Amino acid sequence: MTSSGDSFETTEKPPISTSSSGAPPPHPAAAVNGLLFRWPKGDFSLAIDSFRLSRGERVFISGPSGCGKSTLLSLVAGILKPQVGDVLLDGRSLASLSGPARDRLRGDKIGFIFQQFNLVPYLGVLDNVLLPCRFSAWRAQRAAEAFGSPAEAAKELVFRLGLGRDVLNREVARLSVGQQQRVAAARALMGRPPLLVADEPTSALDADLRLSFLRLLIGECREAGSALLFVSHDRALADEFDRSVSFGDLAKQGASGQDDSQIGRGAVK
Amino acid sequence: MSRFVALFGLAVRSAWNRRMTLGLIVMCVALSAILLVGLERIRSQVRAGFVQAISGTDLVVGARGGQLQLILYAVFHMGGAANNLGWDSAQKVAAMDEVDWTIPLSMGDSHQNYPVVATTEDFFKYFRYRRGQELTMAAGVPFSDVFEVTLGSETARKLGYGLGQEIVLRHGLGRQGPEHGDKPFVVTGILAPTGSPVDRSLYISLESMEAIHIDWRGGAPIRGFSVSADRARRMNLTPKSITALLVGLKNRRQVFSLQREIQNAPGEALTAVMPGVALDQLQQLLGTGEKALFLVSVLVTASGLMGLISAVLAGLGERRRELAVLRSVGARPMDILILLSLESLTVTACGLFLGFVALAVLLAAFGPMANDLYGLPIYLSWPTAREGALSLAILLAGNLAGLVPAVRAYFLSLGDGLTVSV
Repeated sequence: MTSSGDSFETTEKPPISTSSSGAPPPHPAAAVNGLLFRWPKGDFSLAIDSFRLSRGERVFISGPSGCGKSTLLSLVAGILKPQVGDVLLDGRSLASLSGPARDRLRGDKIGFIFQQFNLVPYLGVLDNVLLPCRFSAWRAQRAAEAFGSPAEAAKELVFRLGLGRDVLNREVARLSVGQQQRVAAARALMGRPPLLVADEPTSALDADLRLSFLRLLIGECREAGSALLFVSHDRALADEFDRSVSFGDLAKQGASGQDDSQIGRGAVK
Repeated sequence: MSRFVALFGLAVRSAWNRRMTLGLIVMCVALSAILLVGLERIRSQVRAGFVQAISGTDLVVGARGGQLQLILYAVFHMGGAANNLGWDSAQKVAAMDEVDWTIPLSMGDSHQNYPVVATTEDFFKYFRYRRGQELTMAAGVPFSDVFEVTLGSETARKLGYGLGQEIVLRHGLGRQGPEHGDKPFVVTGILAPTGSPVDRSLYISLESMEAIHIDWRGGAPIRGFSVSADRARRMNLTPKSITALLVGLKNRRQVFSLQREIQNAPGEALTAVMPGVALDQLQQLLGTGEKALFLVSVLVTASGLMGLISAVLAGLGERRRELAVLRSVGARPMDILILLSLESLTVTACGLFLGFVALAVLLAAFGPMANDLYGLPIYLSWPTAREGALSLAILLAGNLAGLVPAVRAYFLSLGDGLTVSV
């Protein structure tokens, strides 16, 4: 347990100089402390003693599908609230925040890439990439600081992710799955959030595309100074990361039949 | 605020994306708006027309018969009288102490489907419409001699007649009646517009009416007998009967006693009606129909909105992933609710707007026709306060309907979070 969230409380404005130079801020991109979560219906629980993701760190979490990875991501994102323990997001305690405040913090601090269906079908490519800026003034401001305006930032990102500028105004339904994932990556990177969460983003891609997409993503995360939390069942990708963690080592899980006290001990230790 | 703008932008684009489905809903809402607002407009304009039609007349006297029928033909020139009242009876009423003025009316002829009303100069002196408004001439002077005619404004405009125009009257109210071709009339004056049935009529003197029928018996010219216009002019043209008599009193408070006096007078059986009372009766009669139509319109609106609910609900299943994406970029569950509500609001508002446009087109196209055929003064106008209230009610109902899928989406996105398990 590093400290309480309050001592890391920062103003909502971004630091004037970004992480490209100078000393990095003291708090990690994300930290999980003594967490215990149980679904209300009681058939599944998850316990994590401690997990830290430093600023700019790229961590690979592997595990078979259905092992509770999505639950972990929902906890980190503040969609789910643990019964015990806390998640710190860029130094701010999620447990101390109301639902809407957690939604807002998520919009500010995390960029998401899902396995599939990342894009809003009725928006064009550019508007999809700009979506985080519509909900987070903080990210809109950061995007504008770097490139003059959010739209310019979006164009630049799309370009850097290897998509032609002609893609910008295209309907997303017309894109290939690989192109869609790149657009999703561009959106996640908009406004350089401290944390990127990627949930099996390469699973829908052809095998020969996976590695190139991943390298592109990692490169852009480095550029943006964002930490990357990458969840996949495909261990072949683990070599590209700073650190690789097996989900089984990270979390203790319980099913309904198990003794509650065991889970409790595991969580509070 | 900017968040609201962003949500509104998303809502509009989402709706546009499903424009085929929602387009049908927009049509439904538009139809509802046409029905509800159109009905209201016709209702208010017809009522206004009734109120416009006559003012200051305390009693309408005719032969014994239905009160409503008497008002319809005496004031609105609709239909015909079953019986006339004798000229001597009319004279008796005019001579009563309480009576200030009378306007005799004699009807039955027409010109190009516009009714011809025979009366006296007193018509121009005493007749009032719309809260005591007097008749004024737009051109020329009222008739003063036999075979002179004064036109209502619309009659003159529609038929393109000016002063000095010679016209021939037709016997009866249809287009097939025989013409009074041997006794043409000349236009001496045109009345200013009134927005009442006066506009759609032609006015001649009682003597003219007598003159053109002097060689007629039982609705047809007497075979082998004709009287020239010049000869007719010199004959006794005092009418034997008239259709109705408009009566103005010196003191309005005597209207009930005079009404009783006229109806109970010995001699010819007469009916005396207070126009206001008869108009109220008429409105009550129409009111029943109005209520039925209103109910139907409300049901149409309700079915349209149910269509809206089902269309948006049906689309929700496919949109769960999209909602998860929105949640991932920081949308609150409440934002999802607002998004869906705004979508329904957009659809309803579009439908309402379309309805108003269609109504305007319909009124512009068919309003004049209704006026020509039935004398109903239905015209294009700015929406009234009541129509505004109706529109607001439709919008509100649309929003309430939109809440159903919106609340469903709220709970879906609350449960799904970022991972959609379908």
